[in-house]
Amino acid sequence: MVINIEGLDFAYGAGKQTVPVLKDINLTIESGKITAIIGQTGSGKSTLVQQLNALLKPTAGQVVVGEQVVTSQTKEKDLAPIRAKVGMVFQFPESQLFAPTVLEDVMYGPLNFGASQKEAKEAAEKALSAVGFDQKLYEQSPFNLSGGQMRRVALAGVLAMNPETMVFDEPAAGLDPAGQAELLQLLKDLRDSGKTIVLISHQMEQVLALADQVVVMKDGQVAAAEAVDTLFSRPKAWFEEQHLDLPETIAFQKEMEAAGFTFDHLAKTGADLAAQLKGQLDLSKLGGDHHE
Amino acid sequence: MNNLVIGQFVPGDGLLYRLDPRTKILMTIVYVFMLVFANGWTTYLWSAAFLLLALILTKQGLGLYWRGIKPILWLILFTVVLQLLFSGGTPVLFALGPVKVTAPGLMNAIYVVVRFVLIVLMSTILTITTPPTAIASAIESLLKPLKVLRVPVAELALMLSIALRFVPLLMGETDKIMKAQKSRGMSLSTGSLVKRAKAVIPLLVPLFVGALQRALDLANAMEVRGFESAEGRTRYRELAYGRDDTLAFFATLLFFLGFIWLSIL
Repeated sequence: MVINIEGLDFAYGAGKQTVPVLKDINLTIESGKITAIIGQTGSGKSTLVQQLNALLKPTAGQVVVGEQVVTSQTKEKDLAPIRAKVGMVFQFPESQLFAPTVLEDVMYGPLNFGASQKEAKEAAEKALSAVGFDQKLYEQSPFNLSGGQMRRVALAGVLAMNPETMVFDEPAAGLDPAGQAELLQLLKDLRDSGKTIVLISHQMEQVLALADQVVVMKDGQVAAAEAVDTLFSRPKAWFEEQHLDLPETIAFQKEMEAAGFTFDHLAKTGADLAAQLKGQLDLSKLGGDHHE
Repeated sequence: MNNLVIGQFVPGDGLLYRLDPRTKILMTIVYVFMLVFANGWTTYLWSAAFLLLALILTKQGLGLYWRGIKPILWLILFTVVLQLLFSGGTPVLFALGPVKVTAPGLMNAIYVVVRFVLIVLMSTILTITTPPTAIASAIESLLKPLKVLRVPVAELALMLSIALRFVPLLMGETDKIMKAQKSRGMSLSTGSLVKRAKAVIPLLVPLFVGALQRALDLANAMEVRGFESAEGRTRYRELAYGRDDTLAFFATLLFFLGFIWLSIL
């Protein structure tokens, strides 16, 4: 399912006191890929992704989710199918937990979208095991869990709805390194199982490692929307203009390029970078200062 | 939820913004108290004139106050209907079976509406022109005499200002949770009344859990920074009584005397 954003403007508030946030956005979120959205705080990333499942409706222009069109005129009651198709995981999603047990909390979404008790339970168990949640804790209160476990329950809560597209707003924030790595693996697995992933992130290393497509937001407008390799091939000065950091490997590669080295492709990992450099380093010229 | 004007501070630079918050609170109390004794069209007109003066001195557009009245229109309408139907008296203007609308009932209804609107507007003026923290410190200052009776005035004022500080936070939090649960299919606008009431649970539980957690965090943060008692603390912003305040008190006194004169006339 492709999501198309066409000529979208968005402003908070109504009447005279409006605050324009998004201006003339045209974007296609491609199906079955991980699209990362990056940009400074206040650049409109969160506002943009909330258009994807119609939590916010465009002030002008339209959002096309599959076959459904959302404009400023779309009625609230027509939005349920879109919410079922596009799942949204907010920042610190553990703050949305409410049910007496973990299982009931995860079943909430599927039940709302018309699943029977039995179907909802199956979906919940499947989602909980996908996020690696311990089966022994299914009947626990979610409020007695550790932060990392609560995050898993919250993720499962959206996963259980089996949406075609999942939007994650800074999903790894506040997790320990092991937890972060597991989460990123989960995102890759979800993509490989055919889901479309949209990811807001401030960690450029994460974007480089995960994303297929990248959207760069600046002052409520799209500054770039392209494949990850194309983006990081842009000159260093461009990133400085957007106030974005480069991932360490990319920054290193660009410095070496400036010093006259050549690379046949963008190195995504340190090992890749090293492999491309090895052939070009003349070891006999190194260590010339050695005194024998 | 951001359309709620009552209780919201709106920055501005009218004369009323410069008054000491204590002055404004006392003026509001006197005004509301006097309105209870309003007994005829002259006193209502006098009160309305005073309110109009205050409105002009806030230098805010009338649209703002209209937005303040709008959410309580239903409440006003409800009161009007009650007054119309259950006031009794004679003469009867028209009757529909047991339901009678009488002339005193009609007058009462009109007076109730006017009184309601005047009171709401006056308190809206107070909150629009006074930041919540200023209101809290003014209340502390005004309650000082109660210290003799061992009322923990400083603590009460601190609690009040913390509570006020939490209002916008909780509003933001509500919005966030609402969006998260909407994404999981929550619908507050469909189904029977029982179903709708139940639908609020996924909103309220996380809100309370979050608020309690925040309160605990705040208590800890205050304690590690050596908080012991609100008693005897100095203030960042001192309240200052000025010439404008004296003027305001004279205006209120004039209103008060005029009111009494009109009501015994």
